[in-house]
Amino acid sequence: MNEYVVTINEKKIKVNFSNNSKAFINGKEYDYKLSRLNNNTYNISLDNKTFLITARRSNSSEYSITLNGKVIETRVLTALQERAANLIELKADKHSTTIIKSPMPGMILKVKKQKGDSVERGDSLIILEAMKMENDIRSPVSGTIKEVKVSEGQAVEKGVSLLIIE
Amino acid sequence: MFKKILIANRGEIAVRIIRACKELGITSAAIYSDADSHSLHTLLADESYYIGESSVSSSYLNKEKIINLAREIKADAIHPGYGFFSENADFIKAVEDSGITFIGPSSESVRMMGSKTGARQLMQKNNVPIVPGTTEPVKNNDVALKFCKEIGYPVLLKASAGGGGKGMRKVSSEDEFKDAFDAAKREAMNAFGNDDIYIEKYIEQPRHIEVQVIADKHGNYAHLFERECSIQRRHQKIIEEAPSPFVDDITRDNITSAAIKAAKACNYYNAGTIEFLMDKDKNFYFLEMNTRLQVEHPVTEMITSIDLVNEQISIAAGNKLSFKQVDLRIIGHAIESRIYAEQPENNFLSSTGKLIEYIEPSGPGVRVDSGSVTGYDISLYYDPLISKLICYGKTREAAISIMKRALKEFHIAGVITNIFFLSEIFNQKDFYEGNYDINYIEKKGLISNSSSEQLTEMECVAALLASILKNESGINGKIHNSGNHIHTNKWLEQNYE
Repeated sequence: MNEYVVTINEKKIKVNFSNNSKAFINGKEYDYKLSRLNNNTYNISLDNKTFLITARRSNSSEYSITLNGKVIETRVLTALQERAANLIELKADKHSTTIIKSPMPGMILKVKKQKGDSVERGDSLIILEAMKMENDIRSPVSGTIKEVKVSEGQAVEKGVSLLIIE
Repeated sequence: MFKKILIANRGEIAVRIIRACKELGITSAAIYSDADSHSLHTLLADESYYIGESSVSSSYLNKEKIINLAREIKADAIHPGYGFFSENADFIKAVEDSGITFIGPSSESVRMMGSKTGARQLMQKNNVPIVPGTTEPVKNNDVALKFCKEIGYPVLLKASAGGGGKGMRKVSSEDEFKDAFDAAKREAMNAFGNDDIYIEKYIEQPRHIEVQVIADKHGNYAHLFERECSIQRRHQKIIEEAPSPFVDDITRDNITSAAIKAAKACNYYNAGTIEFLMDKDKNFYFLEMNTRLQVEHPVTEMITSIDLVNEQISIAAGNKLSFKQVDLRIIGHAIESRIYAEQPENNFLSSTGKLIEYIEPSGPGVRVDSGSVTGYDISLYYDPLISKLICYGKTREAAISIMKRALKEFHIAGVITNIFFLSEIFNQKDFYEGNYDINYIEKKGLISNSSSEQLTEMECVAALLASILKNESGINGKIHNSGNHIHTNKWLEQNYE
C-alpha cells in the first residue's frame, strides 16, 4: 500500500492505494481503473463511475487537474513528507506571510493598499489591466501589508510578486 | 457575387465567416498575427496572410495594412466580423473609398449610431423609447452630481464610445460617485481612446433583450425576433437565448417594430442589432445599436433557419433579402454559452495558457463555433473567448437539457474555464423558470468559493489521480507511459470497418 496526503482547497485527503485497483480515500474503499488517453489525459473510474480527466504537473508535488469543466489544484505528499511539512509549518505559523502574485501578464493600474495598511480577506489590493479589462486583485487573507513590490504603471509578467501580506 | 473576401478578424468569428465563404464558393482570405500563426482561422482559410506582430495595433487594428493587403490580393470585399474594425466609421469610410465593398452597413449609419449620446437623440426623435439620462456627455463632477440628484440614484455611468461593459459603472450613492466616475473615464480612455461619459437612470430588475434586424440596399427591412442576453458577468453576456422566455407575443410585436424604426432612422442596411433594457413590467428602452454581426447571432440562426453571414454577404453584393418577413417563424429554442478562459472564483479574471486538451461536445442539437484546437494558445493579446456552445431543442426545457449534457462533454485543459460555472447556472431553478435579470449572477452569489467541509466526488477523483501520478513519478523519476496501472486504451488500436 502506498500512502499519500493530498491537499485540495485547504482540505487534507488521505489516499491509500494498491496496484490491484483498490483505493482508500479518507478511509473509504473504492475500486478504481485508470487508462491513459495521451500525455496528460486519462479515463479514470471510481466504482465504475467514469471521468475524463487531464492532469498537468506543476512541480514534483503539485498537479493541476481538470475534470467536469473545473480545475482543481492539488498538492500531494507522501505520508512521511506530509508529517515533515507539518512540523515546518508549525514553526513558521507564528508569522506566516502570503505573497500575492500576478495571475497574468498585464499593467499595474492602481495600487490600493500601502505598506502598513491592514486588509481584510476580500479587500481590493491592486487593479491590474490585462486584455483591456481592469482586473481587481483581492486579498485571499486578512493581515497587514508588509511590502508592496510594484508601482502604478509598471508592466508585470505572470507569477511576479506584487505584494506581501503578513 | 464576390470572388474573394478578406476577413479582417480572428478566432471563432473568422472561422464562421470562412465557412460561409466556402459554402458560397467564394475564396476566403484570412489575416493572422504572430500569436495566431497556428490558429484555426489561419489553417481553415483558403489563403492566409501574415499581417503583423501580436499586439492589435500592428495587426487586426492596423487600417493601412489591412486595406493595402485587400487591394494587393484583389479581394473585392472585406468582412470585419465583430469587435476590431467592425464599428469603426473611419475604417469603413476608407474601405468604401478604396472601391472595396464593406460587408456591413455604410460608414454613415455607423457614425450615426456610433456615439451613444447621438444615437439616443436620434431615437428620441424617431419615437423609440430611451432610458432617462443625459443626451450629452457630462463634462465634470459637479454637473454630473447635480444631474444624478435630479434623476435619483442608482445611476449608471457609461462610456460614449463604449461597449462590452468597458467604462461602465453603477453608482448607488453620492459618496461612491467620484471614484466610479474616475474609473469609468480611465477605462474608457484606455479601451476607446475617448473618455466621454454619460449618465443613465439605473433600471431595477432589468433584462437585456435585443432584436436582430437585417435590411438590404433596396430599402427592405426585416427583423429576426429577439434574443435574451440577461445572463451577464461584469456587464458582459455569457448566456444568450432565443426566443426570450419573458417576452410575450404583444411585447414581441412592439419591440420588433421599435427595432425596425431604429434601423430605418439611420438608413441601415446589412445585419444589425438593437439592444433594449426591459423592466419587470415589460417596458423597454433603447440602449444602443450594434452595427455589425453579434457574437450571439447563432441562436437566431437556429430558430429562424436563416444563415446570417450568408445573408450579409449577399446583401453587400447588392442582392435583395432572400426571404420576406411574413415567411419567418420562430421554430424551437436555442441557447448559447460562451466558453471563456477565465476564473469565476477569482472575479472572472482571465486565464492564459496553452490548451493542452480540447475536446468538443457533439450529438443532436449541438453546434460549436470555435476558433480553438488542441495546442492553441490563449494569449493576453486578445479576447479570452475559447468557443461558443449553441444548443437547440424543440422547447426551452429541451435546449437546457442538451446544454447541460454538452457542457459535461466539453473538456478543455491548460487554462481555467467557466464551464463548471455555466453548468451551475443551468442547474438553477429560477433560471429554468426564466426568472432572472441582468444582475442574476451577482445577486445569486454563485461565485462563492465552494470550499465546503465535505469532500466532493470530483475532489476524491482528483486526489486519487494526483496520488497515482506522484507514485509513478517517485518510482521512475518522471511520468511514463505504461506503468503498473496506466495502460493505453485498447480501443485506440482497433479498427472497425
